[in-house]
Formats: sequence, structure tokens, C-alpha cells
Amino acid sequence: MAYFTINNIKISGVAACVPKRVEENVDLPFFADRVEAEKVITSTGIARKRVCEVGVTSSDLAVPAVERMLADLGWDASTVDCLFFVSMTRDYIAPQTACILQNRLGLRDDCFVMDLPLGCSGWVYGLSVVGSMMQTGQMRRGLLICAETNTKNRNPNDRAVRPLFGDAATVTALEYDATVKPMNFAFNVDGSGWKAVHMPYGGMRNPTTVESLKEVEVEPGIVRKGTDMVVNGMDVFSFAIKRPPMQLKELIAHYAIDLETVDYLLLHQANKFIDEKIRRSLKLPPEKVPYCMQDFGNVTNASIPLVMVTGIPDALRSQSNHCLACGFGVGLAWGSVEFYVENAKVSQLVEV
Amino acid sequence: MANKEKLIGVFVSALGIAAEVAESAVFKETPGWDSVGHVNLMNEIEEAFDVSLEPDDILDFKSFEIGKEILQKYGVEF
Repeated sequence: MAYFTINNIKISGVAACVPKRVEENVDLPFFADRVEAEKVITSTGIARKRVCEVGVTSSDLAVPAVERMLADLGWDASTVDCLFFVSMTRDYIAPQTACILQNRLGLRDDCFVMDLPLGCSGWVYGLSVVGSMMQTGQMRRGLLICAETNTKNRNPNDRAVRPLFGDAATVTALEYDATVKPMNFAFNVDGSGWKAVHMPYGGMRNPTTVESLKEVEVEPGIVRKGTDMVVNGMDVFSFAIKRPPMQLKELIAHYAIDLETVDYLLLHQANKFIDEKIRRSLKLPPEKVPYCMQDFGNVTNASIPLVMVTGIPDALRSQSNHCLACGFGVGLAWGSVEFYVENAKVSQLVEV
Repeated sequence: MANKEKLIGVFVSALGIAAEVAESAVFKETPGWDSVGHVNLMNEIEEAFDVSLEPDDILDFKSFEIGKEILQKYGVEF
């Protein structure tokens, strides 16, 4: 287990942008009838998702979120010292999207920018990276963008994934502040499980070929191209109901966290069955574990900040909140963090 | 006996299969019992029998017969 503490980093604000287009799971064509669709909705907790239009990328969703965040914070773009773009749906394989965003957002040419190609654990990993860079105070303001257009690399005829995944972009604004309480992290990785979630073609191991672009029904109800994301549901499920709750318990024990003082556990919005297993394993009451999956689905690395924006905005704006968060998924990689948020700017949800 | 009928009813409801084939249902072999069906099934079993299955039991629950054995650990008698 990798444990470490980051000091002097304040979460100053959170903003999110989602597409206006709503896809209702009850209307999906591969369900036999409304009864079957409603069963899936009940067990996953996901009723609908936001789906971006053709040609809209993760960075296109990120820009309005960042612009709203900067405006609400009163930050000029020229005061941002670093930007990290966490995404597995980047604009191009090269260059990194963070470079393109530096120009689109009007950031300085000495701003430190970097892509982090992480999935569902990405907000926690990203927070640790940005925090590590900023905690000495040489960089004062940073932006952690977590953005994903999951509907672009998952097949619409894959019934195991289409009901679950949606599109969203978020930005978490971070500031150097020597007065704030530390962030405490725990991380794990299990690369032996990399096939649980992977995209077989389109990288250097298996470059895109004509053959890889042909759709194949790999099992009943699951149609994919070689360039589509494979999500082996049971592999992910077996990982998710065991390892993240174990890590959270280890984080709690390692840092002697009093669960009674925790206001919120912010979970990656995988699906309700998984997340409820984690909540109950920690014996936390429902009001301390907010969800947004019912309206936005699993938006991978954007899901923890999205639940902050849509689930508990008033609390984050008005009081001191002792929080735990846990992100888990592709890799397999998972990370947990203890942190505090107080009087943050939480922007109204942007829809484009 | 009542619990067996109840479990058959849950299999029928969660997986959309006929009651006649419920007792021979096997994960990945019975149509509808894929990963999505498994989440539905586990969700409905927990509700129907008012139990909270441990992760290993959820993963081991690969057939109707195995499921009966697992549920007996939670005090469900067949």
C-alpha cells in the first residue's frame, strides 16, 4: 500500500459541464421490454446519462467548466500555474490535450500542463499529483480537470456498458494555503487485472486495422469493434466489491480517522449495487454517501467531482466538510483520500 | 420449500427465464444471466431474503444449486 500525506493544498472550487442531451435507459433498444429495463435501472441505480454529440470531445466539455470555475473564483487565467487533464478520451494520441487546453484557456506559456490517462481512479490520483507539485508553494494555483466522453469509445450495442456510462467534464481548483489540514492518501494497483477494462486496438500493441473496425457479436447482447472499450463486467464487479472497501478501511486505520467525524464518503459512481456494498461495509448512513449516478451514470474519472457539484454543493459552499473519497477501476488501479473542503466555490452545473 | 419457490421466483423475475429452467440455471450459460443479469439477481435476492451477501458469496453464486448453499449460510432454509 502506498500511503502519503500532502500538506498546504486547499480545494477552492469545483465545477462541471455535461452535455444537454439525455439518454433514458428505459428507452434503450436492446432491453426485451420496459420491465427488463427497469430491473437494470433499479439494480444499477442509473436511470439516464448525458451523451455528447458527434464531434464533441472531453476537452470541449472541459473548457466551459473551467471558464465557469475561473469566473466564479475571480481568477484570471494568467494566474493559473499548472493544469492536469485526466482523461482516457483525449483529443488526439499526440499531442497531449493539456497543451491544446493551455492555448484554448489562455493560460501562460510557463504554465505546467500534463495529461494523465487515468480512468475511474483518476480524480484521486490526479489530486495527489497536483497536490504534490503545489505543496511547496512554488505553484500557487492549479486546475485538475477530469473529463471523459465514455459514449465515444463504448459500443452502443453492448448491453453490458451502454446503460452504465455517460459523458461529463469537471474541474477542481486547487490553491496553496499553509493553513489547511493535510490530505491523506492510499493507493493500490493490480496490473494483472488489466484486461478487466481495456481497449484492444488503437494503441501501439495492436494498431487500428480494417478488421479491428468491424463489429462482432462477442456474446448475446454484446457487440463490439476492436477499438471499443471492453468492460468485463464480472471482473470489474469482483474487484470493485472487494478491494476499494478494503483500501478505505486500511486508510481509516492507518491515519486513525474517526468515522464519526466524517461528513461525506464520495465514491466513484460505479453503480448503486457496488457503491451500496462499500457504504454498508463502512457502516455509514445513506445521507453521508451522496450519489449522482441516477442522472449521469458512471462518468469514470469525473464522477467524484460531479457528485460534489450535483450532490452536496450547499454543504461544500457553507461549512467545513471532512471527506473521504475512493476512485477505482481500469488498471486495475484504486485510490482513496481523506481531505477537507470548506467554503468552496461550487459552480452551477454547466450544460452545453 | 417456501424458500425454494421464492428463490425460483427471484430467478424468473431477475433473469427473465421460465420457472421450469430456474433450478438448472447456470451463470453465463443461461440466457440473461450475464454480468448485468447477475447484478439484477443479487439485488433481488438480497431484497427477497433480507440478507446482505458478502463479496465472496456474490462471486461464488454461479448456479441455482450453489446459491441455495450460500443462502443457507445466511439462515435461509431449504
